[in-house]
Amino acid sequence: MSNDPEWITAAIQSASKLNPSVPDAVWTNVENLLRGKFSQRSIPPVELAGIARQLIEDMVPARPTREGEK
Amino acid sequence: MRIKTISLSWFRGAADPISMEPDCKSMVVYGVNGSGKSSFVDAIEYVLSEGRIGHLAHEYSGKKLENAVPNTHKPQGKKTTLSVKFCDGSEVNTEIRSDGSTKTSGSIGPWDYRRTVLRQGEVVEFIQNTKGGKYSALLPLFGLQPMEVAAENLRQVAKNVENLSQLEARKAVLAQANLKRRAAFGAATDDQIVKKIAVLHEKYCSEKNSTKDAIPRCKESVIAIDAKIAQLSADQARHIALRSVGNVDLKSDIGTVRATILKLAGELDPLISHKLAVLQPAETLLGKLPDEGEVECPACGRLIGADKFRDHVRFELERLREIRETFNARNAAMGCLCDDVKILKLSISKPEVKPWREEAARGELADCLDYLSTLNADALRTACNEPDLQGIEKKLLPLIVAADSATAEAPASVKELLDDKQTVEAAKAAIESKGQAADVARADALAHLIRAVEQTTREQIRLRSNAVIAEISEDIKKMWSILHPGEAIEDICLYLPKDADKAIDIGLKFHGKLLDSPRLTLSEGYRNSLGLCIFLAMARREAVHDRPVILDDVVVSLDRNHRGMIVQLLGEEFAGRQILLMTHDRDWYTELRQQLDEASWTFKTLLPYESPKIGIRWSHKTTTFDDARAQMKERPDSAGNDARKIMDVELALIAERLQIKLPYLRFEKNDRRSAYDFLMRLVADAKKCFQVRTGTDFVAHEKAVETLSLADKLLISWANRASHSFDLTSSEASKLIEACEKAIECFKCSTCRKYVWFTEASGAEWLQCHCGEIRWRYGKG
Repeated sequence: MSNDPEWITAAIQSASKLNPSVPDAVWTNVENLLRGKFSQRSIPPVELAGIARQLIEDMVPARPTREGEK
Repeated sequence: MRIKTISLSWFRGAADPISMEPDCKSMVVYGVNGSGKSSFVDAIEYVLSEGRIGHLAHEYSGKKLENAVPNTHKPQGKKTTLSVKFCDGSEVNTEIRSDGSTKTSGSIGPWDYRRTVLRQGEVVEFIQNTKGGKYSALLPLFGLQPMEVAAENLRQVAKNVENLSQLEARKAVLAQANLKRRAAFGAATDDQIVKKIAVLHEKYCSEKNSTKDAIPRCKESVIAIDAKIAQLSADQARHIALRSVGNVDLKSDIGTVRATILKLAGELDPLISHKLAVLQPAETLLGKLPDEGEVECPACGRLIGADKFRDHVRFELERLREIRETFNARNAAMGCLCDDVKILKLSISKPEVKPWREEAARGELADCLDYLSTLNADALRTACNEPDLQGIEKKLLPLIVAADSATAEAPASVKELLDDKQTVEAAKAAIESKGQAADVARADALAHLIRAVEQTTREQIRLRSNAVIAEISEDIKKMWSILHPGEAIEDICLYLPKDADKAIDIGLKFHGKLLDSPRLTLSEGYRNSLGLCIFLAMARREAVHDRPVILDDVVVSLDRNHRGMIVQLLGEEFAGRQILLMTHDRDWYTELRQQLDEASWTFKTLLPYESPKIGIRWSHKTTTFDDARAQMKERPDSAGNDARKIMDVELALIAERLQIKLPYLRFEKNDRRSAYDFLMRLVADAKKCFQVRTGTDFVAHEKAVETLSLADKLLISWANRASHSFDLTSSEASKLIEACEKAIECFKCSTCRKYVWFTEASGAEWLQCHCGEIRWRYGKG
């Protein structure tokens, strides 16, 4: 039995429905934590901090570009 | 994928190359303690676990087991190597260098050590382990370890989000900012505040249309108001400065600090008593930790393993979150008080306030001014107790009141200027804190959603564990019923305790009563039997892969009856699997040799270990007489005694096979017959029942009768001396062992090498070897 994609997709989808304002990039990164290399090993502290920092940045909604403003 | 050979050279107990050669069949290896059986098991673990051997990992073995893996007496120039060859032609060859590094060719594939090898120590360790320990041991076998790793990673990421965002501290600061906003604007909305800013901006910066954003408007307004203030007369400037003294809200600061100190004390008192109650048993607990695998947490009363203690402490910290928030709020309130005292100091020291200050110094406020000048405002940020608060109340509040009264005489235009400046500054702080609040809310939401996904992952683990556990529990029950038929221990199952995460335990019904753990009632032998069933149930889940099952001395604490059932269990549940079974139990080995089918089983015995330079050695015989022979020189009486003990078991089994009738003895004496009893009867029956073919006819097997008679004679005379008077000589012991060995051997055909009970001959009551050269007519003795 492994980390098959079905339940992960379902888990992320149900959590994202409850948090509609959270940007897609955050969900992508959280989903990555459940798959592939991140589920094979305990992430070392420095890398954990990097992932957390990235997630915090991803939570900030993208500002409209100058083109968009125009 | 079966094992063909395991070859060792200067690895563990091995010296010059030695091979164990099951040759794709199942195998029973017998050897006394220390003869080197486990060296072969170590080799398998070394290969499966990439250079790790669990029982050798300790402080003296070196990081790469370089002190433990090579033979301690390996000569210079010799290499430590191991090789495992498989029946499909693949092989793994490893050379282990003196620093523990390895050079390996080939691969064993994705075998799971825990599902392949079971050692005696591991059975005990598993059963005695904590619920958490069992969870850690079984989860990888359920295939759920990646999910557990992912859940733990999520938990750690959530914690990092909270720490990096300084969530708790910033929440406390925001709470303070909100208090100030309510004081300045009441229940006004953000829009209403922005409108107020727009009006004031229009009032002071009407010529500027540079921006519509609130914060720049606030800044421009403050600059414009300050410019107007700079143009005021000295008297008006004094009013302005005094107003800033009067505006310092020390009273509210003191109230907040006092309230948070009180709240903290309210939560702290029970916490301190609680923690004290924890510390005392914890001291006792620490002394016990090395000896006990599971201890009761003094904080919550749950049983917990030492290795899980750190995790548990983290969990307790989570539980203390509320008090940590109060603690942070108290610190934030002390920070505000500190800032306001500094503002007060700065405002009163301004030159425009000098006349007012001098007048105050001559009156009742002299003490207050002295107190303010000597007060260390920065110290209040880290430590502020009730006497400090009372001092501030008594000495500084009168100064503020006096300054506030003095500003009452200020002209209306000055008052308006001051009110507007104050409003703009409060509006700026409110708008800025709104941005902060958004940051904090985002970080908070992020931490919550990561924890929610972690929770979902854990629910999935639980769901899947339950499914696997239900499946395995059926197998465990079945295997238990084979090992312990009709016994009052039933319904054995693995289960996930409802009151704990990351835990698995074993439930059972003991004489009709449901129990949460086998440790409440089961004896050591029963617990080990249970551990064996669990391992075999796990190993059985891999049946499709046809991987071997290796059992290293796992029946030590089982009695003869239960040990005997293992053959039935292996026969029923693992008929198609290769089993490598190591044992130091001579009687059991003899039983297995007699009971298991030679077509699919091989039997080998190891010689007792002599020295590291000689290393592990195989006996050339499948019987265990070499154990006795090894003692011939030094302790001939022990050698003779051992020969008799071996004969006790061998002859009992032969008598059973040949259905030898023995006179009934009362009670348990029936089960305690000795070699003498069996041999006497066998000699008598052999004369009538044991036949050998000569040409087309069968005649009495006189040679066998002679051989048995000689063994009988020597056992009575010399084995008795070995047991009672201890004066047997080496040559006598040697002759005795040889006679016994030949007596057993005489039941084996010299042509086909099968025993006389190999098969039933055509016609009733005849047993014969494979080729029919020798036969035994049972029931006619």
